[in-house]
Amino acid sequence: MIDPLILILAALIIAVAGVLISVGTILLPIGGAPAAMATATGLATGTEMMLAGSGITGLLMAAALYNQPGWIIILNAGISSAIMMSVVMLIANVLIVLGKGIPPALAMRDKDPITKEDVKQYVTPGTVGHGVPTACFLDGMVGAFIAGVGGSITFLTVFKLATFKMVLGKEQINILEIFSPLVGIAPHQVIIPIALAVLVSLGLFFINANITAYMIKGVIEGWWDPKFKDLPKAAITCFIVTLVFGVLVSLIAL
Amino acid sequence: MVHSPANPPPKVSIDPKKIALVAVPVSLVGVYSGIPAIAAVLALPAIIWGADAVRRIASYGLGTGVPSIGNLAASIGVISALVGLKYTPALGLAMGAATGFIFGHFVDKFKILNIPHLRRFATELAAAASLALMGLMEGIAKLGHAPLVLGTEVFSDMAVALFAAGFAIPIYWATSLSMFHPYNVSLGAAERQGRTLRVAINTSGMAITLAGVFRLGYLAMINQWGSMFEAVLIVILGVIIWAYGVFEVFRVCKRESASVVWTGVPPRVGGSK
Repeated sequence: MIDPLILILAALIIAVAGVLISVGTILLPIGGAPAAMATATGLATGTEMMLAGSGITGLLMAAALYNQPGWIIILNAGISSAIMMSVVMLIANVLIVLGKGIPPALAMRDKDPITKEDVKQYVTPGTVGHGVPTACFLDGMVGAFIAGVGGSITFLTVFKLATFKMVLGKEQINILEIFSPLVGIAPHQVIIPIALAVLVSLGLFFINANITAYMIKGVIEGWWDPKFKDLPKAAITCFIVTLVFGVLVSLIAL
Repeated sequence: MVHSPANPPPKVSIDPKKIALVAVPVSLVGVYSGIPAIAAVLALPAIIWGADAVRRIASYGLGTGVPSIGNLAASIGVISALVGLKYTPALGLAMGAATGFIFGHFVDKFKILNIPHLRRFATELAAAASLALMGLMEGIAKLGHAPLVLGTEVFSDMAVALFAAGFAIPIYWATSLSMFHPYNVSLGAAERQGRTLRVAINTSGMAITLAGVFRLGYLAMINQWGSMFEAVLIVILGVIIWAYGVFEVFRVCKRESASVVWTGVPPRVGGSK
């Protein structure tokens, strides 16, 4: 029998993770199609693919560390996502600077918010910036870290609930147990819970990335962008939609 | 009421309500029947319904490209489909529709996406994805021919095929692709519902074929050689639908294009031989 308290608490944890994913998404330097022609700041791809790329790296790390304590899984997943995003941004900058010969530049600020360099003068007239400048880079790292943390919290919740029910057959679950290490379980026993948790986290990444992407409409520079002010709207929507999603997920896992 | 971008196409070949009225009962009966071949093949109307919903929702311009809406639908659909397979298929459909409605309601309420009738479109999209995924997942994973009224007994067996073998994730992508691709490939000035839905027949044929191939792999994995015939049947039916879709799209394109000419074999320029 499903314990309603556990179901609601699990759905709430998943909803908080959804808000974290939304906050992380809005911090990524999303350039979209204009960035592919180096006429906008950011990476040359859409929100979803960027978040999926960095998020899946985090999930891979979370799945590899399945029997560790919760905070180690969450922190490592966040760091792996940030590393993945950093590598992507670095390679994009190498291509832009050394391949195309374009200096990275911001269009919305006169000076780079982090290094205080005068970057506005490098913007080609008619474009809105190029490449990934320092402020965007740090912004993207923080965004990927937060999104990775959100994804791994979902992973952890679903994985632990499914393991307790499907593998261990526990009747009484304490919700704080999902953050404690797993002992005495062989790797081959947890294949089904891990696959279920990864599928759910992937779905959650796409839903929240989409809600945020529809709000920022393709291109965002960083936290100084005017679109950043709409974050509360996206966060509330993400919270509500993910709460429903979390109830469905708990119904499957429990 | 003023609709800002891209005025919707004036006339459609099939009324969307009719597609929904056919798709919901047909696909649901397929899922309830519990026979894998029927369940997989009857996912076809649900996928066509989903492709039509994508067509209506994406004709207003999303700002992130058409594939995003397909991924969104499949993400809601895969979870509600698993709920449906675990409890009862109608619950999965209802949960998918409810999640889609809540998504549409709040996205519309906070003015995140400015699309008229977004609630209805999002509900249809999520319900269609959930129905299609239920059918295809049942086609991959269900053993035996007992009707699937209460799924609790068979869900642990199905979890082995879907998660331990990992077939849930490719079929999730295949459904997402078969729903967003038709509009994504044919969008443009002269986009027409009939042609888009013919591409949907084509892509759903691909998804059904893929489901059949996965079933072959699953049955080989658990040494159930006796029921292999049904898996082959799914592959054959999928290939037939796929081939029908390809020829139908080609025929319509030939009819509606300005002219179709044979360009000849490109001449060999330089190089070896």
